[in-house]
Amino acid sequence: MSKSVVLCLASILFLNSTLGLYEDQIKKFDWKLTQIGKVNNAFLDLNPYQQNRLIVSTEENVIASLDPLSGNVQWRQILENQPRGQLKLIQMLVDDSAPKTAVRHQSSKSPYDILTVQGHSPAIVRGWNAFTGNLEFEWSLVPLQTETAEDSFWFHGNDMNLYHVIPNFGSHLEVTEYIANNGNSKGTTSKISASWIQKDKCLISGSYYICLEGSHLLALDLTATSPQILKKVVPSSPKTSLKAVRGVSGAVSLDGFIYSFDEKEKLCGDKVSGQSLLKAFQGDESLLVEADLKNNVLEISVKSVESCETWQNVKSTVQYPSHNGVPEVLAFSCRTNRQNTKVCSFVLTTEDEALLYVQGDKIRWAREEALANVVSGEFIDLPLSDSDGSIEDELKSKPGNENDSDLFGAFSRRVVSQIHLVRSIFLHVLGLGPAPTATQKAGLIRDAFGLHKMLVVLTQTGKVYGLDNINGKIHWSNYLRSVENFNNGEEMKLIVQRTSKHFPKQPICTIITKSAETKKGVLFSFNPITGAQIGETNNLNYEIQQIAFLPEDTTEFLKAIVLFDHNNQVHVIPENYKKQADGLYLFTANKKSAILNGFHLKFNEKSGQLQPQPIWTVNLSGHGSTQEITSIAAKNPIEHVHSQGRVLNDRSVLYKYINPNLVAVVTQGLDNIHKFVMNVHLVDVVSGSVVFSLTHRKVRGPIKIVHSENWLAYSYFNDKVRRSEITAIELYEGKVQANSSVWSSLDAPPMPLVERQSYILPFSVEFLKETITERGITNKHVLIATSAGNIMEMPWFYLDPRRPIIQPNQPREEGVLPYIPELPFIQENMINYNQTIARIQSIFTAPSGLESTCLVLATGLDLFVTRVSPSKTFDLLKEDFDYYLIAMVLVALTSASLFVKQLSARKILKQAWK
Amino acid sequence: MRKFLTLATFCTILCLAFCDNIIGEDDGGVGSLGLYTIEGRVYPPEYMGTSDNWQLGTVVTINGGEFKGFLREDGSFVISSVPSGSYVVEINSHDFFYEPIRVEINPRGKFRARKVNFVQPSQVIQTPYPLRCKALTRFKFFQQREQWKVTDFLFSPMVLMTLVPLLLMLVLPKMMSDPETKKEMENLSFPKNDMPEISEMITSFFTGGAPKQPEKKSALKATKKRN
Repeated sequence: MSKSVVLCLASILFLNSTLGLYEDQIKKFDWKLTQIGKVNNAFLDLNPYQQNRLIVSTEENVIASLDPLSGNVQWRQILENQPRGQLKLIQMLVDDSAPKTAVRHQSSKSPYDILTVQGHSPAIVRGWNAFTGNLEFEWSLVPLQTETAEDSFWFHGNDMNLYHVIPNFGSHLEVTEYIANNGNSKGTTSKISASWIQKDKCLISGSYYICLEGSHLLALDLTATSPQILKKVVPSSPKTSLKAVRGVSGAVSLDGFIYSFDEKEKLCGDKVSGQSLLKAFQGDESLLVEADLKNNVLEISVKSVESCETWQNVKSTVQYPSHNGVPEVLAFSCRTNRQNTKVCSFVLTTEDEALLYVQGDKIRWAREEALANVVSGEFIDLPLSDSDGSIEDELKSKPGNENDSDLFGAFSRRVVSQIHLVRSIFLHVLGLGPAPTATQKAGLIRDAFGLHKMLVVLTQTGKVYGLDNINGKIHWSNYLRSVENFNNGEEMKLIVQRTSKHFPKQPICTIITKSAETKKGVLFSFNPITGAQIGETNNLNYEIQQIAFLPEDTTEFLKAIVLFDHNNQVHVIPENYKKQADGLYLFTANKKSAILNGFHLKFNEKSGQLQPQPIWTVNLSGHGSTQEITSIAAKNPIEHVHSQGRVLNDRSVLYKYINPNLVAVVTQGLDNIHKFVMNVHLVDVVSGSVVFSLTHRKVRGPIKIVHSENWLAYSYFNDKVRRSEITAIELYEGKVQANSSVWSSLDAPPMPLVERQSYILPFSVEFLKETITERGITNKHVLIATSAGNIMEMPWFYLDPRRPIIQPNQPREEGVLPYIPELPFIQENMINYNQTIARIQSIFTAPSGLESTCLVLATGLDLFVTRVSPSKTFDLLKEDFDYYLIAMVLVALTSASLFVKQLSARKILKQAWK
Repeated sequence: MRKFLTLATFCTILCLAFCDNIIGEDDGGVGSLGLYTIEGRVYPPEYMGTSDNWQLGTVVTINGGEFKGFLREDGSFVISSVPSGSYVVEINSHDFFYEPIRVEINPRGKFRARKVNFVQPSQVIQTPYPLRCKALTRFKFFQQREQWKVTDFLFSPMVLMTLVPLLLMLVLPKMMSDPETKKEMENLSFPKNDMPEISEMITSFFTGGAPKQPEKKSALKATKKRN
């Protein structure tokens, strides 16, 4: 009985420790950016009768409606992931009888506004309501031959029907016509023989299929009853690739020339000067828009197709930010204003994935859509304010100074710093003088708790942003052209080489990436606070295989980068740190063959070269070499482990097995008997010893893994019982510690004790990440990103592998819940409450200045920044701390005591008189 | 006879396996035959005050977003071209919690919908198909802030502990000073002194002698100490 009471109490205690936010804390610590991805099609609808809209489709398979005034998202629908969700066609349906605006009017009887076709096998056709964003209809088509279907494409004819075209390269085209809103085919599939069609040399423009064949352009009108081959001669060696002119049927641009095949579609001239071209209707007039970028000035001109003259004097000259790259005009629309002149708006997409809205001669708004694909994020401390900096200086100079007995020197320093303080009060606090630096002007000064940081975010396109982690403001951005991820889908790296703790020295961040052209390494260094580039972009002449870092040195406070190239040569950047890399251990992993290689670096004094010596090889490919590495998880290098062990109920200590060189390697493969087999190996990457291995049968990916302190947790899909599960492993050295002061992988301690337990998850996992704090005193929680876009903060005591299966008459341990197979779905622990993050991809965590608080960045299509405090904010006064009540009570008590003192004095006096 | 039976069952199992195989092959070859459409309807949480366009924030997903179904204005949805198998249909909404439903499509195209039970996957509780999904609750993301109330303050143990002795301290001397109550008290206390305790009487009756006073006192003290 008493035990069950204790149990109840314990569970109540634990359940009470939910970490929910309060309702008034909405958007207080967090913010979210709603992104859509790089826009590739846009339809602008400006009209006086109803709400203006900008309908877009993006490369992220998203369709959305934006507000043309602000650029905010009105509605957004996120389609499936690739390949099923790949958008093949988006069509705004234009009613011929209605005025030719991009989107139909509300009076129109058409059952849908936007038509999308996505995927190839099956192809899904959907109709959407442009006003509400709701689905209108859906049908799907499964092709008979899936191989050829991959190259199939769709177009929307003038007769409101949908055409599906399957090219059989080298022989013929198969064209089928469908009624758009129900999928009924009209007639039979027609085969058009065309032996000249080739992959990668053809494209569709309106209803024309156009191919570049040597020095000829060949075209077919696919809607014609008996299609004729149309021919045009082009200069023999075209420099650019074929490009369809937006908005026109049967026109392509090549090397600055336009070739039009449609007799009805007139185009003015055949030479274009600008980089981007668009044809669109404005009212009944057919217009051609040209955009030209010269010396950071963008000129957009509008011509009439018939007369070839500038239409209504519409011309925009825009100061264009150079980092945006080459723009492309996607849509435009004009309005007549009160002075009876035309005001035109243009929608442009740029090379760095921004969406610009140009009205008149200025950019009205810009959406940074590169942020929809973040690969890395770092929280950087802001610089100290002047006054704090001088105090820091004073403190710092004391131990370093040899003559610290110099009393006079210390005194003079103190006086000088105090004079500075007084001056800064007059200048900055009272607002008499200008702020000393640009960053201080922008309010980028470190706060008392270190919660305000610069969030440096690296995106897939190579654009880097400096965001304010409090309000999400973009302070600076840089664009690295033509870079890409490493092989094997390994993402480019953002590295903090010097933190901003070393005050007079500026902080340095470095991006290590791969050139898209030469496939060789590229290094780009910058100051993370100002965004200014430091030095030149370092184009390496080798491919990068592995990256490692040297520990921070004591004079420059710089972390040097060690690069391991594809020829197993070692390079250190900067060069003069080469000697310090002596004795470093490195490892490489081959994903396909599942082989790990360990190297030891030796510095050769004579040649001045670093030589890697292979010291171990581990083959994890398993029996029959069926296994491939799918994931590798190391520990966070900045992590601190505060407690060395765990106290058991008999008051003995179970010491944690804390090996900083331990790496978890997940391999997966197919098996004849068990279908899917997954192995998890814990490998010490210095000595190459496999510390522990686990095998899961009938288990499928995606595997998400988190590795920290002495524990490991990974989630997977159990194919046998069809549910998501998570396995937690804890490693312990035992009741005695082999060496409590220094860890060495070479004289390895005994094999650890392994505790493990699996739990059922009521949702599917997209990412796992542990929280991290400055000193590691605060509990570690696991942040679980679910496929629904929520982030759940799961306390470790739920995942604890030591949760016992309840047995009566057995002493229970403190703080250990009894084992329950299913983990709870705790709504209060959703750190992003109803602000779900679409297509969540990863979570980055960083410590703040407060021990209790951990900063969190979640990325996916959207960007979400917040902070969590796993053990509640124990080092901070509660937010709802009642200052008034305390003050009132204090005042009341003092006044009452004074009053009572008076009274008692009077009473004593009276008694004395008695 | 028994042998024959086992043989027969074995045969049927073989046959079934074989049939499965054939159908499986059929699906792979022809393609269109093996793909089905899951239909259903999501009902808005009526009594909980829906937003204007709740359909937009609600998406039906399978396999964590591999297949999706979008809502029409009336809340109905289709998930097209799904191969046969067993799926958990989840209804993702920002604000409302919907129960997931497991939908099983056998290779012949028969549908069965049942409740999701991850702990006991073999337990079958059927639900209607086409799916009808009703919101269970609104998500409770937030904790309630504690509010300062006079009653909370008064009934807190600390305050009670200070108030009760205070009352005793203030009220009892007053009562004692009142002459009538003083008399009453005296009246009350007199018979108490005379009355022998019942337990003592019984113990003396059974043991045949009055217990010694000092011993009892020391025993009492000892128990107190133990406490």
